[in-house]
Amino acid sequence: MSEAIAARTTLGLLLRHEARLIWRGSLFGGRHGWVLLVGFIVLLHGIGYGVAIGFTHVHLASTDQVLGATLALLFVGGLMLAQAVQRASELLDDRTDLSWLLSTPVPPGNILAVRLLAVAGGVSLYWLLLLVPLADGMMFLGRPDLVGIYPMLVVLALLVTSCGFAVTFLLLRLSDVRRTRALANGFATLIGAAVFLGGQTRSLLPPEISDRFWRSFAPASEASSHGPQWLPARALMGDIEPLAILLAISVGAALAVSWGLQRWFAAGAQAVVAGAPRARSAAWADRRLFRAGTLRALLRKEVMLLHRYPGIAGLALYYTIYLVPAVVAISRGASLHGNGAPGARLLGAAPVLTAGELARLFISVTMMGDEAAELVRAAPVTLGATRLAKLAAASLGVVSILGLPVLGLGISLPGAVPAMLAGTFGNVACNLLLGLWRPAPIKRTDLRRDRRGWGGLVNVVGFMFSGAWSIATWQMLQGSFLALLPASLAVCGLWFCRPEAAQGE
Amino acid sequence: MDALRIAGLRKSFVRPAVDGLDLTVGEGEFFALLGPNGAGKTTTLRMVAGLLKPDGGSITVFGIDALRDKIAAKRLVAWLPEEPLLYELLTPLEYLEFVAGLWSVEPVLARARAEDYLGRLGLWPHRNERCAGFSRGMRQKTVLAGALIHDPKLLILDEPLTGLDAAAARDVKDLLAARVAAGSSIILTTHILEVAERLADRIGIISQGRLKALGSLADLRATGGANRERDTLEDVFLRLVGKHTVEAA
Repeated sequence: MSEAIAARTTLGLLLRHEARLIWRGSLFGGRHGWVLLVGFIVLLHGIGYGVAIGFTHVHLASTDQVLGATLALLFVGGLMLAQAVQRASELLDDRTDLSWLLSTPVPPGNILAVRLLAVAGGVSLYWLLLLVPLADGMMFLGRPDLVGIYPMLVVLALLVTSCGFAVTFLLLRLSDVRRTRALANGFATLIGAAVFLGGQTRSLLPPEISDRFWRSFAPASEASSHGPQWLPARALMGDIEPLAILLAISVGAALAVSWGLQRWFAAGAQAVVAGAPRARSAAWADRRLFRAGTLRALLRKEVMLLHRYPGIAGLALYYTIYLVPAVVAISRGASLHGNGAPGARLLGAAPVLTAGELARLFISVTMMGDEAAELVRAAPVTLGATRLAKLAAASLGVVSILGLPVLGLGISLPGAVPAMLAGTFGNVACNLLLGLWRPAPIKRTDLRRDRRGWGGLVNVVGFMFSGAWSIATWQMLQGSFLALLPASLAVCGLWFCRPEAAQGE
Repeated sequence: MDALRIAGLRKSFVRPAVDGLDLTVGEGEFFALLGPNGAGKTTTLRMVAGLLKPDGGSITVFGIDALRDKIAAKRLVAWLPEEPLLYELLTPLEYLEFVAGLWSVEPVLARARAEDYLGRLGLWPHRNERCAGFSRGMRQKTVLAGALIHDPKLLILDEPLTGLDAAAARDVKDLLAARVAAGSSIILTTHILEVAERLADRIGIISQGRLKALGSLADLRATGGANRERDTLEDVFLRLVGKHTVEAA
């Protein structure tokens, strides 16, 4: 067998292997997965047709359609890029078979190409599931040109995933694995926040200014909408020629990344296996160590592990950055209505929501990130002390991030302080206990360690607690006794989340 | 006083893992617990370390009921599992500080011991590197230093020499011999029978959760009858647990 045939065979084999792993690890990978998938698609199409009927009455000028399609692609592409960067940074140390695969005669370029295709597939699948039912509905109702959505989403995913991989491996080349993950997480969060802010311009700016801002980007005439910057929009609207050009560009980008960056990829994987130890200044490190107190030792360990957890800065940023546009939008909404009071009340509730989300994140990291939990269990330390240290470390994390913003908010809204503090305390306590009893998976590998079986559902429950406490704070700020209702619901919900052993006692 | 006294210990998962085990380890004794895979060695040690609750029986550590007064018993015990329990994000010095804190070791003493053990085990130059990049041997030695930092009276070691190179294994064996000479008791499980043969004062062989034989190597040889004085521990072990049991396990 020639080398070219062997390379094609291994590429096919790896692709099949990757597809099998993704399918079996997905929600549909179970015994009746196909039935579930078909049911899911039918349900989405029902919703899609409903939404499409609403759009049939909307008639836009062709230049506006081109602008709308471009903005939609920028929105989807931005979020796809954020996902791709994050997944590329996880790729190196989340899959344990990587070092083994690199030890086989398979060229690293093939492995990278397959991983790139897998990430692109994962990134596009989410949007395909969301947008294709809508596109199908629109096509059925008289817009057959929108068939371009199918290939365009795939082309876009391939292109942004290639860019995401290039960015990640460039970061890896310039720094180490740990910093790459932190930077990639931060970068992905910033892209997500920028896309979110872009979508909020009508809330952030007066509508007429917002509309004028976006229309300034529109093509001046039908003829000028054939420029290269409008290629993606025309491809999306079913134009074959731009689609072929973009397909060639995205395949070229994927090939260039796979073959051009394979050495960086292999070096990155080796750096992960080697662990890249980082030595600190001996004098500084030695001076601060060995002080008395069991609780102090436990707390110090939890704080160190939390602080050093890979990607913690990006995760914390992800949980907090959305507070900024939310606060701006709320303040603006309040001033537009000529009354600052409703806005101030909502403003007071915003940090309550964020505090709870951060608390759950930090406590879950202390639980899921504990690699040697049995060491503590074998030590003469009570379970209460261990848990107290985890709760204290997570609380410290929340205070370190939200302390100053809440203080600033307290100074500008002194009357809101008691309600804000009560709401924050309640929400943080609820989410800390939830995370302690049912830690939320932080990484995909955590799902395998999640023996209590709640998986990502914990985040849904925790977000409901945060929502309830935010509403309670909002009601408290209005001076209403109705605040007791959502707060009681959150506490009752928490009661049912206790571990089975505690429920049986 | 006995360092460890186990009586009628039982633990079942799907099938009985430990089935009425009786065992006594004396103070200052080096005891090797041997058995094929799945014989119940690790389950026994995990129950002694307070990590598993027995279904029945009793465990006494230096006269303290380990099932009733867990914290007091744990103060005297160090447990070293087969897979090193180490925080990859901590440095060896930070790890030792943490372990010393768990056992409330006086800080000055803890620092002196940390320096001593890290030096003896050749880890001092790596004391401020994160453990994430350590080899299996370096991890094992860091964890061993952690197990010794609170000066335990009873040391429980589950396969402590797995994955160590010859030099590292010698370091560990020397350190363990020094601990026994200083009066500590050690219970060790190992598949390297030569280690048990050379280091252990007494050897217990368990299979299917039950004690098959107990005594010094000479005592165990004698169980085979006359003309067995030249048997190695491996011969004795295979005779007692059966070659097919080992292979099946």
